[in-house]
Amino acid sequence: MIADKDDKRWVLAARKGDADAFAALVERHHRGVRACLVARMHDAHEAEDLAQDVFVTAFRKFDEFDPARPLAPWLRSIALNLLRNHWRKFRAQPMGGNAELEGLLDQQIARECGPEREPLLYGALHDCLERIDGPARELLHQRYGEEVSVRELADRMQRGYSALTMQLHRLREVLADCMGQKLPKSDLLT
Amino acid sequence: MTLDEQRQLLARAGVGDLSAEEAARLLEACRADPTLLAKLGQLTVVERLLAHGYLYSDDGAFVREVRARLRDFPVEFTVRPKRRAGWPGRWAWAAAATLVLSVAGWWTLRQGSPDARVVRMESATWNLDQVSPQVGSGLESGRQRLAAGLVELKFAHGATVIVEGPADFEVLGPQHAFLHQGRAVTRMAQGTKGFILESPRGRLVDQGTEFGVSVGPSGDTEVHVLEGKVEAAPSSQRQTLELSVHQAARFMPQRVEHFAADAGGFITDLPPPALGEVGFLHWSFDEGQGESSVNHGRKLGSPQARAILRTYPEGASGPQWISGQFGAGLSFDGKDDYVEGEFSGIPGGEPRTVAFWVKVPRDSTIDEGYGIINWGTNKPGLAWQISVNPMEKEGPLGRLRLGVNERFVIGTTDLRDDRWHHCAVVMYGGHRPDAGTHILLYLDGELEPAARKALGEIRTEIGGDEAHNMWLGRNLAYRGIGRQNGTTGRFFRGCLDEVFVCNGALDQGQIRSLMKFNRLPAPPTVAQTMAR
Repeated sequence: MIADKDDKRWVLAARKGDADAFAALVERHHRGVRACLVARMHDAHEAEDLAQDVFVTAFRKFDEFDPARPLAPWLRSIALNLLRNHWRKFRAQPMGGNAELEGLLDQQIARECGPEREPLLYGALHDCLERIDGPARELLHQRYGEEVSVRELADRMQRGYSALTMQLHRLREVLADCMGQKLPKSDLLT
Repeated sequence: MTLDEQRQLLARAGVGDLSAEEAARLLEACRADPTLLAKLGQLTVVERLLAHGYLYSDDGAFVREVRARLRDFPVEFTVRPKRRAGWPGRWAWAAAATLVLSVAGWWTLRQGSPDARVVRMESATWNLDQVSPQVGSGLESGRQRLAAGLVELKFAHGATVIVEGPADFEVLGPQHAFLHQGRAVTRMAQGTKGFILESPRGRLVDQGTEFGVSVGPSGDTEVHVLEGKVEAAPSSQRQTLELSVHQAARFMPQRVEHFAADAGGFITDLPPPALGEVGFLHWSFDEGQGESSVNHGRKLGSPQARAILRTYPEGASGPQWISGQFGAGLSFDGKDDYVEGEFSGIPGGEPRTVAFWVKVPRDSTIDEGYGIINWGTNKPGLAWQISVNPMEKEGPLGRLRLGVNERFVIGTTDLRDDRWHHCAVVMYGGHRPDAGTHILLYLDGELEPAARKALGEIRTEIGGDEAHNMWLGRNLAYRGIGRQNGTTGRFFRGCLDEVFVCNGALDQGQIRSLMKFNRLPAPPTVAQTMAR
C-alpha cells in the first residue's frame, strides 16, 4: 500500500527540484503505472517507454499537482492521457485484424483492471510464477524472456505448433487462476 | 461454439495468431457470452504482463532510466511555467524561467513571431514528453524530438529545412538551427544565403545552396552538398572548408574525411497534398470463385476494368482463392500464376499510390519475389514494379521494393514471415520525380525507412510496343517463352488481397484508412484543402 503521507514529503521536495525525492516517488509508484499501461497495450516495449514518459511528464508538470491530493490517481490520469494520445498515432494492428473485437477487449480490460488492482498485479504474477517450475518454467522463460516465437520454439523442441500453443494457453490459465486468488475483490483475475 | 472451440480460439489469440475469420467468430461468441469475454480479458492481461515482466524485471533500471531522461529536460521543465492564479509558488518558477531562458528563447519572445514555422508534415510523430507542433505553428525554443516521419520548416530569413525522423533538433534563431541527431536537408530561397546549421562536430554556413546533413548518435556529422556551396567549420580544425556540389565530408572528433555526396540518401521534398478527390481502382478479390474480380474503384480507368486470373503458359490452374485480410484473397504459386488487370497503369511522372495486403512465405526464394504488381516498359526509368526484394547485391532480401529498372528503393522490414502485411508505395509527382527522392514506402501504416536507394528519374512508359496491362504476380521482365527465356524470378509466390491503385500521392491518414477500413476516407472539402 502506498503511504500518502510519505508521498507528500517527497512531493514537496521534488517540487523544489530534488531529483532524489522524485526518484523515490518513481520507486513507489512505477509498478502501478506500468501495470496500468501494460494491461492495455500490445507491445511491452512501447508500454515501458510510455511508462517512462508518464514520470517525465509528471516531473515537468509538477506545478499543476496539488500536494494535498494523493499522487497515484494523478499519475494514472497522466498515463491514460498519454495512452490515448499514443493510440491516436500508433494504434496497433487489432487482434485478428478485427477492430470490433479489439474494442470490446479494451472495454473489458478497462472495466476490470482498475486503480486498486494495478499496483498489485506484478506482485501477484511474481508469486504465482514461483509455483511453476521444471520444463513449464523453462518454456515461459524462452517464450517471454528470450522472445522466441512459438513457431521457432516448436522447431527447437520438435513439438507441434498447436500443442505448444495450447500448453502456453494452459499456463496462462493457471497463472490467471492463481492471481485471482491473490487479488482481493478482483473480477478480472478470478 | 463448443468449449473446445473456445479454448482453441483463446489459445490462438494468446499467441497473436487469430485469422480474420477466427477473430469474427470470437467476437460473435464474446458478444453472446460475457464470461468468455471476461476470460479473454484475463488471459490477455496475463499474456501482456508476462511479456513485459520477463523483459523488464529490473525495477532499478526503470528508475535509473527515468532519472537519466530528466537530466535531458532541465530547460523544458523551467521555461514553461503555468500562468495559473492562486498558487504562491508560481512567481518563483517564473523568475527561474527568466534566468534560464536561452538567447534563442529571448529572441523569439522579443520578436513576437517565431523564428521557424512548420510548413508541412508527413507521418510525423513527436516524442510524447513534448508539445506536438502542428502545421502552421511556430516552434518553441528548446529541443524538438521527432520520433518518426518528415517535417518541413520555414525559417524567418528564407531557409527551408526538411527534417527526417528520428531526429533531435533545436531552432536557435531566424536563420540558425542545431541538429543534435538525425537527418535534415537545408535549402535557401533564391538570392539568400547565410543559414547556419550547427552539429556536435561543427558548423555549416549555407552559401545559397542545398545540402543534406546526417548526425549520428556519437555526434559524428556528414554533410552532402546537393547544389551550390557550403562553408564548413569542423570543430576538429582551425580553418574552414568549402564544399561544392557532389562533395561530402564526415566530421569526426579528430579528423575530417572527404568523399562523394550521396544525393539519394536524403528526402528533398515532401508530398504535396492531393487536390480534390483521388481516383482509384480497387480489386477486392472478394468473389472467392470464378475467373476474375470486378473493380470497386471510381474515377480511374474503366469502371468495368476486371482483374483476370491467368496462367502462363495457358492451361494450368491459375491463382487460388483463399481467405484474405478482408473477405477473400488470392494465392499465387510462383510457377505460372498471375493476374492481368484491365488497366495500363499510371504514366510518366504522375503521382500515384499502390496499396495492397501481401503475405510472403517464410521460405520464399530469390526466384519468387519479383512482380507483386507492375506496369510499364522494362527499360531504365520506364518500368514500375513492386516486389519482395530478390536482389541481395542491391539491398536486403525479402524487403518491400519498388524498382523502375536500374533505379529502386528497398525497405528495411523482412516480409517473409507468413503474415499479412499492408504495403503502400507512394510516388509524388513534380518536375523530374526521382526514385531516390520522390518515393515513400509504408508498411502496416507506418513510414518504412529505406535500406537502399538508387537514384534515377521515373518516366513510366505505358504506351510503347513492349508495354502491357497491369500484372499481379508476374515479373514485368518476363514477357514470354522465346523472348526472355533467361529471365529468372518469373512469378511471385505468396498471397495478395485488396489492391488499390490511386492517381494521387496518399498521405499516412489515407493509407491507414485503407489498412484499417479497406476504404479511402471522404475527400477533403475545398476549405479543408485550402487550409492545408
